[in-house]
Amino acid sequence: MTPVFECSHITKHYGAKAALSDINLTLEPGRIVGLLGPNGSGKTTLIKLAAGLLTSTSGTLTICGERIGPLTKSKVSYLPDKDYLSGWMSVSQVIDLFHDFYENFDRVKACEMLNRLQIDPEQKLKTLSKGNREKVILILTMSRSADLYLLDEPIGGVDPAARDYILQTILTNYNESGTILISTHLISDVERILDEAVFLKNGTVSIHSAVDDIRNQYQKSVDELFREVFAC
Amino acid sequence: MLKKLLKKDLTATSRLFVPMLLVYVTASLIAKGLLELFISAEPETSGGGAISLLFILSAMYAAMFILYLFACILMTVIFIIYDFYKTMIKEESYLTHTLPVSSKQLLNSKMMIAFFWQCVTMLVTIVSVLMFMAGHINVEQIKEFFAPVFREIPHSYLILSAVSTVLSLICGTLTFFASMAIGHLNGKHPLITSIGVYTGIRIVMNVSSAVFTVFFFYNKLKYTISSASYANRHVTANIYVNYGNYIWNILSCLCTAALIVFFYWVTQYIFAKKINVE
Repeated sequence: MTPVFECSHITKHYGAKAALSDINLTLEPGRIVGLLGPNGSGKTTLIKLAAGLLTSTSGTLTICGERIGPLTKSKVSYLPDKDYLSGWMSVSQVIDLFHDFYENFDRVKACEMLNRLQIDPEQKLKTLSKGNREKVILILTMSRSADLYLLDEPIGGVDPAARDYILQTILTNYNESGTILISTHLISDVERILDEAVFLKNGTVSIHSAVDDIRNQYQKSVDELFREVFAC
Repeated sequence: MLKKLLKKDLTATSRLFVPMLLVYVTASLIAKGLLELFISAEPETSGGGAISLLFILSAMYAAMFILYLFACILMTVIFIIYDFYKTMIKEESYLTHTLPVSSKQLLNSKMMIAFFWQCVTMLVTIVSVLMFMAGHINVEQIKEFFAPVFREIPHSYLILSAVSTVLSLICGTLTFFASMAIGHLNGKHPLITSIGVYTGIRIVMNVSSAVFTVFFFYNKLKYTISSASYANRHVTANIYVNYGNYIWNILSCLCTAALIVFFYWVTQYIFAKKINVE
């Protein structure tokens, strides 16, 4: 089976600084993978490379066996850590946009989720609260039946109740034959949903293992191991 | 996919251009109205003071209207740059560059929409000026005024001039795009870098153009002077002057076309192979 995400000797420099150094990582389909590391460890850089927002200094990265390009972008559903939608658009206009460009976008599912949140589709995005805007973006991302979901800090900066909603939305709406790669440093909240964990330290992969194997091998939870590995 | 991109970009840019053009059309109608009012006002019944006030108001409004005309042209350029910067380099680039389209399609869409709005602005400006003059300028007089021009200048030369104008518009837009593409490679200060790159490009282009112009017309003048020594010097000089302008125009078009290809390639290459959305 073709790995859904495969990077080989990926290095990314920003000037003299190496954000990623010789990363080798393979992810199989149907897994929920946590990309874990402290701030500045290279999580966002790796995710943006996979999303096609950055190009690597060296190495190769493929999604479902293809190099990054229009085809991989049709298979990848990306949730960035920032608000990237135009404020002047209404919610329905954004849904139309996603429906136009992505064949795997489920408009009915998106509208249902918006209804449950009681978000008026005709409302302009700039009139929504920050929390609701983030939820709209999450709904758009998870309404696609993608092969790879790249979620960059989806629960960062939100209250515990919102975190539960976000994780629940992720779990109940993703394509189960696809793979989710969640980057976060809030391990305790996501650990229960993870199949695998990738620890990123100073731009290199220090651990890549199934969560159950981590618990068996280290006799610790992933959160406890994270605190130990990344202790200041 | 290009059609979808065009629809997306047209929708996004319409909210900038349509209000600007609507205001311009409204201002044109008001200017026309004031002009007609001033012309139709009778000094005997209205009194000299009222006419003077109307004249002052009309003159002030006309001055503001002309300023707004130039502002529209400038705003067209600014809106094109603003839209490109926002959607290709700033926050909205996260959406743009994750759409399942190639960088070529993205760039083609931006260029076509930019050209569209430049043409619309030009058309609205021309219609506005014609509307302003309507009823006060004799069409026959205009035809008589321009007749010698159209008689003596070949149609092919006029077509060449039109092509040159279109190429210049496209080249101008692509110069901005290429500058911003290069500027975005500096993740920390993309805007300042873009301005610096654009300034550098313009300096090089202007200096090259000036050197080439001097060289070309110096040689043209040399030939004109030397050919004056022949018996049929006037015919020879005229032929050379006309062909000289032709050649100049063709060379200009070729240079502009080459620049278009170069700037297009640079912009497309950077967004395809060196993208750096930070």
